Amino acid sequence: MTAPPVIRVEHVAKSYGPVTVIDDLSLDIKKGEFLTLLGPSGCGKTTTLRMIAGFETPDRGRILLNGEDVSDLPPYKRPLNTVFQNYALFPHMTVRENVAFGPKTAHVAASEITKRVDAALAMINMSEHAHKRPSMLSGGQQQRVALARALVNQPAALLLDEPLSALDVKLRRSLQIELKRIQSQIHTTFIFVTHDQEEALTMSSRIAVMNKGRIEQLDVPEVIYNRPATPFVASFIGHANLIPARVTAVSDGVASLDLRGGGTIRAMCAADQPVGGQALLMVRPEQIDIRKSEDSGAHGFAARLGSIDFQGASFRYELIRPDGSRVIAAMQAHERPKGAATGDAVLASFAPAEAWVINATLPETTTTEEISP
Amino acid sequence: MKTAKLGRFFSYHLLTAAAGLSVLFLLAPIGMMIALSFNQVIGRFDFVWHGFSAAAWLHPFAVDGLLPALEISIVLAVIVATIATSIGTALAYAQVRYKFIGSGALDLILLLTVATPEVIIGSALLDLFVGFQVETGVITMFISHVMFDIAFVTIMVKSRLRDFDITLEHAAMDLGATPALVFRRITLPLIMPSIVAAGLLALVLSLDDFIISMFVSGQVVTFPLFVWGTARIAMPAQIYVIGTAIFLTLTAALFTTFFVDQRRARRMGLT
Amino acid sequence: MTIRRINLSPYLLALPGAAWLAVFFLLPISRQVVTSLSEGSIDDGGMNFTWHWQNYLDAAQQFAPWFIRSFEYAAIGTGLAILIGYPLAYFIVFRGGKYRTILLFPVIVPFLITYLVRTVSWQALLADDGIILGTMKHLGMLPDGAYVLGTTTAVVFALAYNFLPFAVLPIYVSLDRIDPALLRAAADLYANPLTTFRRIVLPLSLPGVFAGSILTFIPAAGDFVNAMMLGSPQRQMIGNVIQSRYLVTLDYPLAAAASLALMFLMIVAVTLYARLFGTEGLTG
Repeated sequence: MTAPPVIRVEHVAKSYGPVTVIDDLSLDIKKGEFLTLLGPSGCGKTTTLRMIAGFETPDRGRILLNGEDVSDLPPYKRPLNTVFQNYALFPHMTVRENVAFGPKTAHVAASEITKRVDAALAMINMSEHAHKRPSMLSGGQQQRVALARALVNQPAALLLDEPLSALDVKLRRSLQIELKRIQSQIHTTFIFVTHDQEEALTMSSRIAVMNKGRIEQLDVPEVIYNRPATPFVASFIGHANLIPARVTAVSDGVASLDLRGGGTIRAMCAADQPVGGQALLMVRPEQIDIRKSEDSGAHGFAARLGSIDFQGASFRYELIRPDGSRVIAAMQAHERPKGAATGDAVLASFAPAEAWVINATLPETTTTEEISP
Repeated sequence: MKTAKLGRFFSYHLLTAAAGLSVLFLLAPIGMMIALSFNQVIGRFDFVWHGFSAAAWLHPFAVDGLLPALEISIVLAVIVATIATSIGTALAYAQVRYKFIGSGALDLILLLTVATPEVIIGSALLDLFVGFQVETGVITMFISHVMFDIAFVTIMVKSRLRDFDITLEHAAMDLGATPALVFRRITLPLIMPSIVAAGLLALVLSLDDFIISMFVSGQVVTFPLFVWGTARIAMPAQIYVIGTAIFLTLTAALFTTFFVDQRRARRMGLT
Repeated sequence: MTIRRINLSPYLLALPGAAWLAVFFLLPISRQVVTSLSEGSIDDGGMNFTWHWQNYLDAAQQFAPWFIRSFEYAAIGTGLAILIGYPLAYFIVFRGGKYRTILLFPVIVPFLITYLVRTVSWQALLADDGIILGTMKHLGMLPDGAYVLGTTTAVVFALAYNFLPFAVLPIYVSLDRIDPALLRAAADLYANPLTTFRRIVLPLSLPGVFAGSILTFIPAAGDFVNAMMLGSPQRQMIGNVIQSRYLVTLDYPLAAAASLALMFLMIVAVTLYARLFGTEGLTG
């Protein structure tokens, strides 16, 4: 018996005029988890968050908070708090007044407010800036104040709407770590919206990958990355080579595949993977090892070397398969094949355990390039 | 090469001269007004300088009827500005924050009230009051002044509200504040400067109004109407004294609000 | 399934303003339409609504010179306001530097002196033996009988003065929006300052000129104070006619027709002008 979800989104739909933003979305958020809504802009992740917060009302469906229907409650009657993308700190109030706004509105006793605000400011290391106006703070400091202002209310869940997107890369990394630290300290449920797949992989306990108003896959980061359910998920998270194939046999979660354009290989697959149908082989560039083609004992498929690009820590190889389709391989500088040159015939080798069968076909019109971020 | 340099020199100073003349043109009546407030008036219409005298400044209300007229003008302007600013701010808030039926029509009416020449508005109002047998006087003047002030206030406050970062309101609501509290603690303090500016404009427009007042004032005499009535009989220096005093007061108010705003904006990092 | 409730707040907030404007703006104008189609006078027996179109023909026939003169005066006054205001706006924007805000002060000065006192001050300035003419006569620059007061020149300049802020501020805004990099780019492409002005600055500021001229023209065409205090009784404007017919001769139907005809002609003039020069300036 699992604990009931903190928030349950039930068959929710939302359109703006003729544009459907959310299309029958259901989602259970567990107590204490760090759930990330990940997807490209326009996928409906922010709208979902705003409906949970109460800034939008769903056209259909319900939103339950601790088992209670809150779909029609305004934001100020929901025990949830949001960290906004642009922080939305009140410019006419000091840091302390900003953080005290929530408890004051809730008529918490003055002494209790002081205690809670002090604790919140200490948690984000901003105690000595308490008297300052937001305009005197750096972007990272403003972000932390926004976090304290929300958390001081001890919300049932904290909603974060791309809170780090306005910051530069270095600051973003350190705040990611800080956010994760705080979350593990206070065990509050975090619902985090981002379009940055790396951020999602680093921070989340679970990720919901969204596309066109639907959740494509909801799972822990490792599964999302290694066992994507759809071509979209595979391509949105990192780079994925997707090769159309036919499944010839399945046993113990390992499938045998005939690749379109030649080659027979094995790869991991779902337990219920049907035999005989069309599917996609997914193999990540960093899993491919480029070997000489006479190395026939190895598992993989044949290709010719295309362009070779130096990328710092690694090299990026373009591999051209016999049917002309292209596959990308990435190899660390120290393990790259010596003496390989454009035009050489090679073997793209990988371990069956590192490849995955997606039970879908590639839409004719989309290439992997188009659906990657 | 030399002619080009000469041309540039010429155009540079020509522009300065033109701008200087424009400023002179704009300031000329003020200079005249201030000078004439110190004139030693001999005849009834004295536009000639007869020598310095502070008599009019020492006895500003020595002219019969001037003080009551000024009092009416000021009291009326303050009440009108207060009411019009409240009504106009509410209207602006409704139009910017909500979508509602009739909002577009309201935009058109607001534009029309600003664009219609005063002589048409004034005559139409007189037509209405006479038609419904309402006696013209202080009340009809109050009604008319509030009417033409509403559009100016609404337009000014609306433009500020449109620039207003709506997520600040969302953030407050998210922190548990009801719409009324959000307005009081977040929106109102942040749009206050534009409300004050709109109120000041409403005050000036009411204080200064002559054309519409002329139609709807009945027997009541405001300061502009007093000047109008007097100008045909005599021109005492006191009129220039009051004109100068009003000018200085409004200038001081304008500069004060401007600098207070600037300081506030700097403090909140809005500049 | 949620049912969206109608939110009453905006209606309640908008109600006082909307009601005030409906009762004291729309209603009076409608009422004036009724009066303009009525016969009789408020003195003897009152007015009767009889669809009396004749009032408009009478107004057109009797007041044609006043209408024409008003539009003429307003057009010249507007032209003067743009001519005087443009160099000033240009100077403030491109040479004002950190004194910009201070330099804007003279521009809004006409708003701060009471309308009537301002007009009286012009009377004093332009008086036959006043500071300007008196001095020039004294110096022998003008013959003794020379005068400005009571002429069209005085009225037209005073109209330009009165509504100058309306002309300058939109021009100022449109010039202020021009990216200074454009001017440097033009100079880099071998344009001299005059060419830069003609080909870059002027076209980009035209929306401001357009808006400014409409904002000046409309109140100028309806004004009667300047014509009455600074002009000749023989060359008054249509505003004077409406004013005297309403307040002196109490000939309401004819005055109402004149007032509405002025409104109609103004709409026609502004529409024509907008057609010719684009409407961008009105919204931008």
